[in-house]
Amino acid sequence: MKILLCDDSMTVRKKLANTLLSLIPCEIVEAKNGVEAIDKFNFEKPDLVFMDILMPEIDGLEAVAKIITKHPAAKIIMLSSVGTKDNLQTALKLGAKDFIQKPADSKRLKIILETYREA
Amino acid sequence: MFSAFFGNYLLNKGVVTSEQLNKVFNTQKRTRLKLGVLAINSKFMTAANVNHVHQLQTTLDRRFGEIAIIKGYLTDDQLADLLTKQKSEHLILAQALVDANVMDMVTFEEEINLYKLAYGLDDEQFDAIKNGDIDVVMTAFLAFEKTGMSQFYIDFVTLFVKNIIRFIDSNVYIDRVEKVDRIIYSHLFKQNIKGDKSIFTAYSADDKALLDVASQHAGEIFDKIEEYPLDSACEFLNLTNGLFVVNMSDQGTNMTLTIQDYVSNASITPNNLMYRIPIHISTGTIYLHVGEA
Repeated sequence: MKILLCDDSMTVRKKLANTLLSLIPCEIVEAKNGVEAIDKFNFEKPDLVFMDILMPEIDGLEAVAKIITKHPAAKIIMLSSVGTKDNLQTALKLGAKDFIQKPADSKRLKIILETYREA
Repeated sequence: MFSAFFGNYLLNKGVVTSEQLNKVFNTQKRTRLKLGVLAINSKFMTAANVNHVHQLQTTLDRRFGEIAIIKGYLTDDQLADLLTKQKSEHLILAQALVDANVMDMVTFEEEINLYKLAYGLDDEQFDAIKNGDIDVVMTAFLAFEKTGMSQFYIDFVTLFVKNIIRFIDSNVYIDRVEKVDRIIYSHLFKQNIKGDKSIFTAYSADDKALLDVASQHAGEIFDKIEEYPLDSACEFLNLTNGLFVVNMSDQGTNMTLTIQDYVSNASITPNNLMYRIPIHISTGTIYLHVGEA
């Protein structure tokens, strides 16, 4: 399983990668802003994406919109510190599959992985 | 929490030295209050009763409480009450200070009263510190000027301190809120909260405290200030601010965040009222700033 982690924080990317690797055998690809996320998605074709919202260049919501337009089957999970109802609704409307409030809990991540590994 | 707040009050007042305080804190970790002392303190037993039980303990392989009940000095309920009090941080600190010959019980009680006076704490607020009720403690200590923003500042700082306790270090106490003008820091992490209310948030820290925050938050051990620990420390602010925005949003105040930012050798030059809250942890001091954006 190939997973794209998109977050401007190196700390979040490393912590998340370590947690995911402890839960499932997977290949991790990283992006540090929305522009990189779109490029990496097009090139790497990941099975699952974890996407932050607040990022430089273009934010996570705009990146989701662009990825989903081109790849409607993309499986994107928002992972943000700003889990407000507005952000949640916007993300789901744009095509994100789920929303996790930071800090990511490993139990929640496990459920997400189990849900989308076979989907 | 009580030990950190009151212990550092005694330290700043010059009643104890930092060496004595560290020794007391270490003793406190190993100390269990003696049931006899507690029984006298609670007026359940006289000193003569306690001495009698101690005497019997030299010949009977029984615990203090068991013998006291057999002898009719204590009831089952009284013993249960004493066992609960045995875990009281407030009394353990008192005993550790007395055992270290820093002060006697009378002085301890006097200092407690002076402490309550110095911070204008009523009995309820003082009990909150003893019980570690962070919300009441923060409200008592965070004396912001009464404006339309003060409750937001209290809520924000309370959440920040809770996250310090949750993720970084439970040995926390805060100093008085200060109004600040221009301040320069070697390392500064900042982020604006914007929306229905706009708030500037930032923090800096002593190098050791900064590395501690970065290490605990990242789950790694950092000993040098460089890109990764700085990123971790910056993300800690983002994490806290995100939770604050979610809390506010749930209460009907719509807010969002700007992207968090790290600046080296940064000066804070506020146009509006700006506050600084020193937050002390085991490894040093964190300087949290909050004001109108």
